[in-house]
Amino acid sequence: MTNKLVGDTMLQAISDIVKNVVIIILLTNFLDMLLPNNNMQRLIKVVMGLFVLLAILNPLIGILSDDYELSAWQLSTLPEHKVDTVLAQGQKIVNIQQEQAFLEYRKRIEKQMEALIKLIPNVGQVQCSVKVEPVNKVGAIGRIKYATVWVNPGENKTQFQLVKPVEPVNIQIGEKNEPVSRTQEKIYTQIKEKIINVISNYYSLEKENIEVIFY
Amino acid sequence: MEILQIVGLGLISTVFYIILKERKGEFAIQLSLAFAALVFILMMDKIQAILQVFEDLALKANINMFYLTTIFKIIGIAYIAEFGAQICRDAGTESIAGKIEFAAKIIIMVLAIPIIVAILETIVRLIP
Repeated sequence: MTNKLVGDTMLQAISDIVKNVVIIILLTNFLDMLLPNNNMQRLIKVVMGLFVLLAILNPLIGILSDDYELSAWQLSTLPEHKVDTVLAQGQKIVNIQQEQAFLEYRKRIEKQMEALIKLIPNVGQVQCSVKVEPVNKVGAIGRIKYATVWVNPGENKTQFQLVKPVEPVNIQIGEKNEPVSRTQEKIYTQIKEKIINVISNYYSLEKENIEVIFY
Repeated sequence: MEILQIVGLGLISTVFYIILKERKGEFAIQLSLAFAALVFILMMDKIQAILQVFEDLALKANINMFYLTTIFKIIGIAYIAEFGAQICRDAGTESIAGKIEFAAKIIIMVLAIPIIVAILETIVRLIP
């Protein structure tokens, strides 16, 4: 019974090889017809002969030794090809998931940054945009590379601040008053410094990689 | 009946080529180049169909696609080199045509290296 099974398998393998050899010979004959009529034909025929030899030898050696694998034959025979396709699909899904996680991470970082900046006095509305680069480390998603903050100066109006707070009255003694624009510039610089400090300390980001834009 | 179109175009080009060669040799070469390019473009779809059939056959025979692609590349290089060399010969520059063929031969040999390595590896394995 076992002998019959082995014989059948062997017969099947030989029949496969014969079939493949016939197809390969046909293929090379067709390819031969495609060759241009010049003195390069000789050279191409040699290469094609080698190719046929290889195509015939490889399955034969596969039968003779089971563990044999030709390293130069990095090939896509049909079953391997299928496995590759499945693996490629799996990799694709993993890539999509990673991309989604990366986007979500970026959004959360931006929200967190906005919340942090809103705690700084004289900051009204804030919008953040973060450039994150992926990190090839287990458990890590990305590293913040660059942060851009758009700030609208003014008081942060929350629902608990219904009564307008008393504005500070500045009394200047002397002849020269500081121009309003200059005072505003000073406030802007202070806000900018504070924002940069907060983000730099909290996210360990270098100060030159933080940009603050007033709008 | 594409062949009639191509032959017709070829004959017209030949007549013009002969006329131009005697009066303005440089234009004759340009005409020959244009005709070669035109034929190549016209045949492109058909070549693609043939290659597709070969690829299907190769998949059925479990042939490594890498090697088949190499063979295709080699044939393509031979054709392109032949086109170039023939145009050079028409222009009377036999030496340049020879150089083109030399370069094509070297490139073909370089492309054939993986196949040669695979054969050698197989033979080494076969010998105990």
